[in-house]
Amino acid sequence: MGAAERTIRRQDKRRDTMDLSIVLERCRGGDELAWEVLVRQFQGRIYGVAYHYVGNAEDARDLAQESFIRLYQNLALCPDEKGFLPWLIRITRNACIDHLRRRSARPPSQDIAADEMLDLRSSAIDPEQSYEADSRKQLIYKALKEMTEINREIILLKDIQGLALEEIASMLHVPLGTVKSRSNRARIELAQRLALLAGDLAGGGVV
Amino acid sequence: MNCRTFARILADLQEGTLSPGDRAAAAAHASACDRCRRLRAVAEGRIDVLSEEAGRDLARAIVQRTSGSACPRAEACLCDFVDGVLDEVSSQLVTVHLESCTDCRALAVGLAELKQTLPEFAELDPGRGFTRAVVAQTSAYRPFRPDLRSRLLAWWTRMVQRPRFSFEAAYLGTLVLVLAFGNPVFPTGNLALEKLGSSKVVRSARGAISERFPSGWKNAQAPPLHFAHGLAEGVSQKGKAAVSLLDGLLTRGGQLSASSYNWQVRTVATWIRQAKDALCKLWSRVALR
Repeated sequence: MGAAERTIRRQDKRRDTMDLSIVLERCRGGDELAWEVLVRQFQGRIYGVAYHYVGNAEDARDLAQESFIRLYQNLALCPDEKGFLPWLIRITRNACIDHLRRRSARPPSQDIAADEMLDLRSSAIDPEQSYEADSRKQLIYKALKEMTEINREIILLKDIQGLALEEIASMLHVPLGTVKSRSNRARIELAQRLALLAGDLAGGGVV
Repeated sequence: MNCRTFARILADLQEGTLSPGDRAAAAAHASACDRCRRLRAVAEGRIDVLSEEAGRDLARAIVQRTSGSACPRAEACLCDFVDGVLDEVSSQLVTVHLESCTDCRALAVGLAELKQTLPEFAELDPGRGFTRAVVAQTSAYRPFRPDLRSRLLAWWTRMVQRPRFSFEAAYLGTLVLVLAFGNPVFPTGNLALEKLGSSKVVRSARGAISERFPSGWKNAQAPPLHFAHGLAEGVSQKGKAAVSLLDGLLTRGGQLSASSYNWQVRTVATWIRQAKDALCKLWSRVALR
């Protein structure tokens, strides 16, 4: 490994450990480099949230971009440090819900030819394909897709994104106790579905 | 002693409250009767009558017929149990339940596995070029508008850092001076001084002083006029000093121009001479009046 490459890797590590409040302050001052670092730091999270809501790589990518644009336009209002990620996830969730509402109100056109659809694809990686190497993850992902919407959302926010129950309660506008009981129910539902799917797989069923 | 009597006194035998005669009779019967010997061993806990599985079934059957199944209650606690936030007593109760309930144990194992695996789903790769696309889109927006002070400061910093700034400042300053006081090096530059001497303000000031002190302000005895007179004399002296300084410069400039034939130096020397003449006129006028 060359010295230059080692230096770049050291800088990469430094970027990962940069203080979020400093990055945000720079972003508010109009520093494009800081903004790029912020996008790189949170793009995986935001794309993950969007994908779990809409279940489609293309839409998730667009929605993640839209969320970052909303963040950029509201940088002056966004909280620092601890409150930043929940705030960003809330923005993404709102964008996804708006998108789902629009989609349900106006279903996508069916008259696009199949080969044209292929051309419309971008380089976004479909997580479903990326999990192929890990059959257990694929199984969990399938179980997640089979869950009810409410339970899936709770699993996404609490167990996947690691938000606190208070933050979820504030985001979903429901009491704290309701969130807690829903969370327990959702986890048990997921574990039971997973056990069922694993049983099917072991018994030779098609997963 | 028969078997019925042995069963009746068995509790007393264990507690040691039998008389020595009864105890000897019970021991003699137990050594002779296999059934009663086994009964004594069971009562003393030396033999486990139920197998492990039979014991679990019995407990479940009893709970089922009394309070109902404990599994729903265990399920409600399982998430907290897996997260390690359940209180100690409840945790022990759940542990005992899990030892006997295979379904709940499988569920607990599944929950523990999910707790470890689910956070790995938090981040997904949005693919190459995502960051660039976001930055390209956001660069079209300019939501930041710093306050006026910051903008002025930034503008001033940019201006000062320009290499031509000092030339521009010198040019601008000269222009302002020329506009304000006239061109001192132009042949008709004295016109400005003439105008200054005969301007309306100066004339009215002179008129006011003449009215107030008809005998002339130079001879006036009033202290303020003494002071004004002294000031005028001081200015006159300074003017003379400036003129002599200009004379020196002129001499040196002339020598320099003679030696190097530099037209720029000659031009400067001409300007200085003109400035000197103008000053001489001005100060002599001030001093005379």
